[in-house]
Amino acid sequence: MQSSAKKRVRRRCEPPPPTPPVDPPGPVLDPEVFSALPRDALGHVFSLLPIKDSVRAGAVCRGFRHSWRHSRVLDFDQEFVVGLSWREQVDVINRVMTRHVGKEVRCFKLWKFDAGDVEEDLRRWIRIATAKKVEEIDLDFAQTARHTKFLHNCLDIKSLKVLKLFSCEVDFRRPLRGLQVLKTLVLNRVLIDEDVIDTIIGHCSHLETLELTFIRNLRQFKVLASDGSHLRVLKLSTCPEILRIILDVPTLTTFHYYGKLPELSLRNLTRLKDAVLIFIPPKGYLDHSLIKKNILPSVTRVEALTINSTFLEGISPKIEEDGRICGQKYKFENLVELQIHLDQGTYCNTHDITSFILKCPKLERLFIDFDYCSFESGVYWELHQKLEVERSPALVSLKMVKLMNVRFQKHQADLMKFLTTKAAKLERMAIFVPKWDRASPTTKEFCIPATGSCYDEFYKTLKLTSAEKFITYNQAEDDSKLQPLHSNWP
Amino acid sequence: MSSKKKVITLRSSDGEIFEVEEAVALEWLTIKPLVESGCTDAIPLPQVTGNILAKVIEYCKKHIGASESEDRKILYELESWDADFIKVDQGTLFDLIRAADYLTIKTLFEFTCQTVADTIKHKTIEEVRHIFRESNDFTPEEEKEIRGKSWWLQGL
Repeated sequence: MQSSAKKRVRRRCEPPPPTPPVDPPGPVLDPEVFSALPRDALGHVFSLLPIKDSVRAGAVCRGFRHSWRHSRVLDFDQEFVVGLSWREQVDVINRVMTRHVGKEVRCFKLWKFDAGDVEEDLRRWIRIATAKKVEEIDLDFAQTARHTKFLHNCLDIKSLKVLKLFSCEVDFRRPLRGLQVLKTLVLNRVLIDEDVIDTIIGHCSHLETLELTFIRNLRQFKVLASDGSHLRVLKLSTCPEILRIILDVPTLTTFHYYGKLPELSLRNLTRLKDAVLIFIPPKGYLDHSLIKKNILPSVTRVEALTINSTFLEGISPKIEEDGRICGQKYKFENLVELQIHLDQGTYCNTHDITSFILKCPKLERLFIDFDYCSFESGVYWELHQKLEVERSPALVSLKMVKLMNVRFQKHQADLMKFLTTKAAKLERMAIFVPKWDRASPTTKEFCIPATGSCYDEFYKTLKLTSAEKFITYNQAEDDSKLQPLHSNWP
Repeated sequence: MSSKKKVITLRSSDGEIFEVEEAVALEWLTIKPLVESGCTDAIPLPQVTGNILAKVIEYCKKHIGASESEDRKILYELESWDADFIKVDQGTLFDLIRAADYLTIKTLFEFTCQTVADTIKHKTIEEVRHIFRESNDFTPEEEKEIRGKSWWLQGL
């Protein structure tokens, strides 16, 4: 009896059952007031639904049945293709485009579409969208086996503000008649003539964002304010043939580059705030002086910066011909967030990293990925640089540090010690150990488990007093919520 | 011209008096002709209550000029301001749509309608029916048909 009473009590104390899944954020709608929405406002709400939701809403009642015909969001995306074969997709898109009666279309999107045998249909869909003053076209032909060739002369659209193409071949009738209001151009794996890009940049004076990824034919890339460009965001990534980049655009605020080190000429980038400079190290010789001469002076005013070890090597102090060590006189006055990716086989060491950090007086957030890089500190470090690092001034602003792929090697310990002793305001240091490690079997003992006390000894050797600041994570379970601004470079 | 900006007086349905700058009132296409004609009396707005009119004015004041700004920071701040602004109960949201529709304020109308569209996007058919107070007027056969894949393939 007693036990059953106990049970009852316990049951009463149990937490309430979990509440049903929460609605997506936004106000909750009360039917009482909503039903009184005027018909035209209701129609407007429906036209803002993506086509799939719009068609689904047609099943609510007869009155809504054809509301999809006014949908302005013709987004045939990954949700749309679920459960439909390729032939069915083509049929549905054909029917939607033919029976659509709305006068305006905001966007037309295809997702991983195989355009192999339906070139004529595709051209017709684009023509229909063009007639309805489409503002955004986003065509992804990732599933098409060969390059889609039918985008010649059909994208020269007057109303277009955003154009995104993935995996196709495109050409524009020149001189261009449309694209006057184009603001964003994103080309990925697009076969395009080099001079077409020049033509677009010259022609589209409203172009603000340009992203080019894996553009094979691109050898030279040039944007000049004197040509009327107001470009603000430029991202160039893995263009295999690129040799030369010339930028002279005072409006540019964001410049991301990922790829081999080209001949870079950066001028008048006075408003640059955000830069990614990842230079893939070549197999042979690399002339680092280019980084020091051409790039460094243009990026010292940025607020957020992502670099890899090639950049660090380029600006590290060098022994000159006359035997003097020539340090670089630079300072990153505005830098708040720094992300460093260290490549395998780099020859920069802890001193290079610390001396860079010391040149950023406002630095608050630091991200370092050690990857598989491992460097010997060497005699010069032991005799000279170590002392210099120990005597260096404090890091006055640093609050947060995230270290990735930490294997508790000597150089990593040196760096941690530097950061913890010099940064008085440090609030948090998140240390991530790799999930598994093929490079160095000796670190296994550290890698399992990710949390727990096995690191305490290590931290003790560093004489880290306030251990609660340091959290060790397994990289596979990153719930630290510490994400750098630049997190999605290839 | 005096340095003081011209002020337009508005009267809500419950008799509350509001003053807005002329530049704000000119964005409201319904009363634009009145403003342009140099009307000095309080303009009556019989379909908008005082508390809604206050919200509408708040939105338009914030947005005038800011939407065209080129500074990313300003645009970002405006976005988060909008998100806070629209955290209102359902009645107010609906009243805002009606007011924006009545006063022909394009930006506010688009924004409020988009908010509703985003909300019903993930709802089931039954939930949408409930929201719109619509009853199911399809026959069971039709109902079966429109819920299946064939609706996509033949029904459109």
